[in-house]
Amino acid sequence: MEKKKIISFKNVSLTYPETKKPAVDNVSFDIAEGSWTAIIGHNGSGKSTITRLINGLLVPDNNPDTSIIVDGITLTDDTIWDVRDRVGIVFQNPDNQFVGATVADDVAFGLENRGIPRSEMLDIVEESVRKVGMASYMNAEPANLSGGQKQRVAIAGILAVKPKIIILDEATSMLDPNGRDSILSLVREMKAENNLTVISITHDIDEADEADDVIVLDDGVIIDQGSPEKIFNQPEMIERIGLEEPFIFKLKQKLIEAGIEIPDSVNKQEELLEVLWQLNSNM
Amino acid sequence: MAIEFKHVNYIYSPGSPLEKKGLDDISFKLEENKFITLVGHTGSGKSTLMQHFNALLKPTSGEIDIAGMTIDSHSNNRQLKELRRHVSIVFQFPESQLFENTVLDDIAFGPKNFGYSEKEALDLAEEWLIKVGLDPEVGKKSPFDLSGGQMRRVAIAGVLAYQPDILCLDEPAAGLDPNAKKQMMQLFSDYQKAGHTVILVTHNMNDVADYADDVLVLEQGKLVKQATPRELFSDPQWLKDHYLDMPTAGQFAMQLKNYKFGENPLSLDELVAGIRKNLKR
Repeated sequence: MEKKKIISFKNVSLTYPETKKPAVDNVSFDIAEGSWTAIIGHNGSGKSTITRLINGLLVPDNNPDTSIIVDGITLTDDTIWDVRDRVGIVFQNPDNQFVGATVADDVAFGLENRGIPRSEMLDIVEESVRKVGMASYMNAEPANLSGGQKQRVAIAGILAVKPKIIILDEATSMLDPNGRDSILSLVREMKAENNLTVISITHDIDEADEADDVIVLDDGVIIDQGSPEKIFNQPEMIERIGLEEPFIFKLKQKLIEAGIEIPDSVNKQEELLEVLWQLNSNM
Repeated sequence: MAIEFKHVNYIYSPGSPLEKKGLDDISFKLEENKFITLVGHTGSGKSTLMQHFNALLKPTSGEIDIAGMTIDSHSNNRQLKELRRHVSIVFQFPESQLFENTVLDDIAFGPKNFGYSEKEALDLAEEWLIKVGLDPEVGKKSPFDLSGGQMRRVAIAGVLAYQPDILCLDEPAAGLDPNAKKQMMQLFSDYQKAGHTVILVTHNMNDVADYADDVLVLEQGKLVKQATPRELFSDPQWLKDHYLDMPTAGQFAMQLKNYKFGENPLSLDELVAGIRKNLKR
């Protein structure tokens, strides 16, 4: 059975005012409910524009064939708030998304907006803040936190309103490796618990390598969509659009160039380790 | 002339209930004209330490020798402008500090501020616009019409244009795509090789392995290690104890249990060479 589509873009273009060339050019794609999709592309390829189209922060160019459907709702002026209820975005720079005077206030903001009763709200806030590992900063001022800590708070604010879709717009790029891993595993856990759909806009190719599905954008056009194996076995394409291959694919390529036989079917770290192990024990 | 920290302590909000130790008895010496990386976890004191390099923060106790000056808790703010001409700090997301009408004016602001004439400053701006990899045409645009990556370059050009002897950078490549990041790291590496000191705050151990001459590791406000990348990454247990990663190539090598590597490979090329050596035994 085919999985339910939670996001469907049909023939979507967006041209910013005062520019001639569309930033997103006649883009169509589907995202399956409960999947983890990575959208990759160089700076300025249109990734963030797509994010902002999903929740109606930007309105697509007027075209009768264009539609954006989120969780069964066609995005229009009338449905925009229903759509935004379903989509949480964590931006790259958390300073641009803080409103509360304390960590707890900030996390509560989305709940207050939605009219959640105070008693319930306090529990949800506490739980969300604890889950992102910031429990001891409940009453701290966001401005006094480090970049990584701020991002955790931003993520808590999103988790608190339990959206169906969470978009990480370069959200881990400011975190240290441990912070990044802990946030990603937190999002994974939330995803499993609540059947969340995750869209991660990222330059971290190793992060994209762990996605179910990868969408490759170049100058506003989708040039490929598929599994990480399919995408990253095209080193010329990845390089041409200004990205880097995941480490394992680079290593595989270099080993082959060095005359070491690595089967084409090897696409994962464990597989490559296994092949190399055997090569060295046969000698 | 080396950079030297002597028993530097820094206390946030001393005497208040919020009192917090930022730096704890830090001493080290850095050679000039090297590429230094500063690593440590969120909250380890990296940013606090960095702000001491040009006295945005002054030590609560201890002293710092830098750029021919000595800074301690009594340092006079009047001397600091001279210090800041020699030592520049580029914070995270420097593009948020752009403000002029055109890109060239924005880049020229730094040199003008430090005493260059209008003409000299604009010449320097044109020169550095190109050196950071932007098209000369971009110079006439408003900085706010540029992409995030271009704005970042403009902001960095504005600092490089007055050629500080010591350039401190806090995660300057965060959020850039891999190509842009590589170009930017190359720019800093070239700047260092041209006879300047570069101090880079980073979480990326591959950058440490690729670029650093010397590494400072901070933990809870203390300096826990000063070493070359080779020394730092030769001790997997120490790294593990301090929750630091090995460069990707080294991580992979450690999992190849039936291979022997003389030194833990720090780059993809070293890893491939090491694997070949094992297989040709």
